[in-house]
Amino acid sequence: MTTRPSKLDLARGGAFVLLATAAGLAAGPLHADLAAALLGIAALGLVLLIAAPAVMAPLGLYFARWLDPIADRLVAAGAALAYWLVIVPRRWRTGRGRDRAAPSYWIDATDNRTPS
Amino acid sequence: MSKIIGISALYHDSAAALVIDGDVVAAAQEERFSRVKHDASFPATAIRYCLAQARLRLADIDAVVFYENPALKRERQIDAFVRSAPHSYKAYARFARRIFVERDDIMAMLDESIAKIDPISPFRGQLVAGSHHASHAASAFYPSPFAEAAILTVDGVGEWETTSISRGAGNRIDKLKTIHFPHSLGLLYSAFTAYCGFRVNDGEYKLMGLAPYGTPRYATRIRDSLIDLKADGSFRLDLSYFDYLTSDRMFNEAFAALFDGPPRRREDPVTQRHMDVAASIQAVTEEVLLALAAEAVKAAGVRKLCLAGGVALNCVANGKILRSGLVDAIWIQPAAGDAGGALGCALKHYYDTTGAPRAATGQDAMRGARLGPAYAQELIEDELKKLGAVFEVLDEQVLIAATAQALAVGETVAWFDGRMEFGPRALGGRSILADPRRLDMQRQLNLKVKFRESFRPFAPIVLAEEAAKWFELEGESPYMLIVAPLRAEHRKPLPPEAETKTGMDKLGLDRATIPAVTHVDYSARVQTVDRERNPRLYALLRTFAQLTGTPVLVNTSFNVNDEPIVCTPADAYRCFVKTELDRLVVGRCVLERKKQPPRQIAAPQPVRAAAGAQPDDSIYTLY
Repeated sequence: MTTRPSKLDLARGGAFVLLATAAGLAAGPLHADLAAALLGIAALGLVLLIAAPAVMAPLGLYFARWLDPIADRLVAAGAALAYWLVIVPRRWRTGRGRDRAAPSYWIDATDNRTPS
Repeated sequence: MSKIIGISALYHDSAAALVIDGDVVAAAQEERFSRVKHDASFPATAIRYCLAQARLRLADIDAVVFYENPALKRERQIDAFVRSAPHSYKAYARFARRIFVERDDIMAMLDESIAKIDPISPFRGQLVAGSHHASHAASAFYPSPFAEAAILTVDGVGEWETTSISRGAGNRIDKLKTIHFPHSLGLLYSAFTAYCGFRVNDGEYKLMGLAPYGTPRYATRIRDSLIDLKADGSFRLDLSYFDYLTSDRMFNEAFAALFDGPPRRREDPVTQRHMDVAASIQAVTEEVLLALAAEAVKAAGVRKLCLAGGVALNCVANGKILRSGLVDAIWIQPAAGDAGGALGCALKHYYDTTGAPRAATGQDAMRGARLGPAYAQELIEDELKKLGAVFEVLDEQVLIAATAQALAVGETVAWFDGRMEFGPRALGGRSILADPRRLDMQRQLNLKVKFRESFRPFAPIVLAEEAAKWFELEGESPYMLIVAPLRAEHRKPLPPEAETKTGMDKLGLDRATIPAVTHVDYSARVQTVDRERNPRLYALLRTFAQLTGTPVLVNTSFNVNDEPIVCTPADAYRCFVKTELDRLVVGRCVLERKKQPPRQIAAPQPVRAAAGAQPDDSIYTLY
């Protein structure tokens, strides 16, 4: 099981945060739909900068235009960072592939009980 | 009084269920009304039916519960793109278009769709998102006959979870452990379904039916290369063989190379290699499910097991779990796939919000899965007259005797009785029945009635009290979810030349006293029929047994290949005339094919024009 993020993970994470911040700050003042824009910046920025920046980065900026005041853009960048911080630990936890030496692949779920 | 509607929708097998004070009052899949198989659209008609069944308006409903959490699912989908960048860019572009351009907000869409159902008496309650595997677990435990049980849910993927073990006791379900996407037994099985040329989320049954024709010569290769199974039932897949994280395909070239050749295209013939691949993945799936069942009873500390999730429809594996000695009893939700999530989320919301006690009576609460619409005799006659059908109305006893006699002389009979079933199996409400003693019946039904692949087996229904005399089955199997071997005394010795037969050549051999329902490995997917759940079918079986000495009939769903099971009397008639069925029984109306107007037979119409959303053929895990 992978217990630490790889260099590639960290590189992707860093690139993602940079893009999300840049996109947020560069965005024009238009009507805000914060939730959609946050997700748009987070997801588009992450994959598109890494995967195919020449094609997709402008699309990320297009969605960032929905954000209006500077404060919203900063929130967007912060939320994107937080999102990444959620994803990375999850990836450590779930791992990427098989590990013949690991005793078990179960994930404990006892903190997720229904109310009585 | 608490009135809750559960919904599963927007991927495949949309459905709605109504729970009133913890009682399951009504449930139906949208496909039965829209006539689109596996309809994925918002189940507006199913909801209207549930309301009508209980004589309620939408304003009377306290809560509508969606069976999964769209936000968590999005998180997992984005994570999948992250994991597989840059290879996932094409899939991501499609995802991004749906989410960011089409502004696909599922909860908002549900809100709007619910508002349109009954504008005069609008919904004023809560709209709540559930959790996919919690909905499956609730659908497995709350309607079960057990006061406490281990609960195992296994499917393709919910939000994150693909497998979960919980403990149910009274009105409470405690989740104990899970396995997360992308490691999924359901997706592994679906990858093989696609590789063997069948549609994902539709052809898994065909793969299971194909397995007995092959030998599991690839099983070791699957264990060594594709899946790492631990002693405690947990597992991981080697993702380098799968494409479902990055594209519309389940598997890649490395996967195909592992099995000595390219995937089968749908139009290609099924070869011995495909049969061997099917046998191999079935063997591995059974091995994993047995390990999971062992871990579930160990973790929960209870030897009664409830099962749900699409993989719980693998009735061959279910039978092996039951006979393994690992569990004292097993109960499987008859709508184990995503449709059943509608029922589970409603039940879970009821117990979570009210804290009401749950009494386990020793009988399950599914009403024989007969939760769909029924039609009064007058309405049936009106519908048939409108269609120009020629029919007789018979007294009940005369009808049962005449139908049993027709079956005994080899007629194929469509049987439409009372409420429609909830879930994928026809259990005597919308069934096609036939004599299982006839060697040619399987072929005749497959090719002339069902228009489907000749290798697919048919299932037997048997009087509950006679089941143990015919099959190696202890206890009941009212929902046709257990495969059991035919008892040795009903098997026939095969001729010496049968030893050399392989693959499809095994078909058509006179191997049993009921060959039409005996698969090539002497197994059968049994439904036990009792008087309480199914009084008319019970009476028919008993009369057939008195005539023939065989308390068994063929039971297959009343539909043709690629169409949903019929819902209304009009659907039944249209399906009847477009096939070579000999007789149709709808309520107390009896229709003989030879008496129908020639124009109906000569130019049969589609059962009903399709009106729903065709389910997406792509790999939903990404979209």
